[in-house]
Amino acid sequence: MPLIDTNVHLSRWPFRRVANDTTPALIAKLKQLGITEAWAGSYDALLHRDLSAVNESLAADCRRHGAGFLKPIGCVNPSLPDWEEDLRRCAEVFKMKALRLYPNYHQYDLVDARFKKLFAMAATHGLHVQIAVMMEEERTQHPLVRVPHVNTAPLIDLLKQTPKARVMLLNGFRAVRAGLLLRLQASRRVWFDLSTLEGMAGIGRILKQVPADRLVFGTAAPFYIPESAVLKLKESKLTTKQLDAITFKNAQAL
Amino acid sequence: MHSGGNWERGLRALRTVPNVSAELAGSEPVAGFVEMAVRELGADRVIWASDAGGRSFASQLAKVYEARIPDAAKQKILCDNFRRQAERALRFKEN
Repeated sequence: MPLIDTNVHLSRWPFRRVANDTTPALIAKLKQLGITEAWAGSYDALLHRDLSAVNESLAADCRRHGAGFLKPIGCVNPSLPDWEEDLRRCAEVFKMKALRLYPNYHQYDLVDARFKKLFAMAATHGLHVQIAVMMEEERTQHPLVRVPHVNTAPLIDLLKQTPKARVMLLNGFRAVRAGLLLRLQASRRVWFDLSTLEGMAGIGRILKQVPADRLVFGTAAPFYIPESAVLKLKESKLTTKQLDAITFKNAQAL
Repeated sequence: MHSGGNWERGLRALRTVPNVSAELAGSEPVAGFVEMAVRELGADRVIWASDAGGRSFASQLAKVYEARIPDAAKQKILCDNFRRQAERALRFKEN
């Protein structure tokens, strides 16, 4: 049975070493858990400015260690000069299927005109956009690197203006409040990864607000312990149809 | 004692207090928490808790299940340490 992890990172978490933060070790761990495909960004993209090098290295690492298993997801920072070239390379040179954005690490918000342009360009290139709503909870952040959650409310209007755009919110469940969650999922072009979903039988509860065709499996490994996401699939009673949608069908369709 | 949201600070604060145990609930299931607790306090001073229903049993159990510590330490964290403390408290109450 396929199990697609839409949310992993290669390289090293910037603030401490964590288990499985080398590419071979991460692949081995994910495969041990039954994961059959993983969409990988790079932790380097959080703080590095030379994103061309980060994306090139990411693509090479995925090829070298995880061909057929790791899918590289490049990063573009629209606050940098000539970010359009980075986007073009992601699409045309590295043949990536998506972009992963960190708006609050890169200090722009979703009403920024540069983001709107990026959003439209990504859609034109057939890239869906992953937005990391948070990477680390506020309580453990380094005092000099306080990064708030991304405000995703502007996506409501932006999706109306960009009919071909598709968005996946990573690590979003603690940050996106119920009312906004309903409005985002109603667009039918936003997906949510489960890595930060909490509460007992969390998937079962969230399915009362968000249909299964909007949810995708994600571990946020290696910073998050990937077993957490795998166990969540067992914590709720799910139908085979729901489970298939969440674990692979929704991701495959993107 | 709860390890605190910032558990890297919380665990350090408990190092010098040998009659206090660290309880693991309430934080995100990030890698390394349980390993640091066992390394700095010893497996006898670490106690699992779920923080139910705010947290997921899956996320909180995964912290211990996947920690890079011996199985004997996991047994202590998930069961033996709390049982030992609870039995001591019950004996005290009975007397």
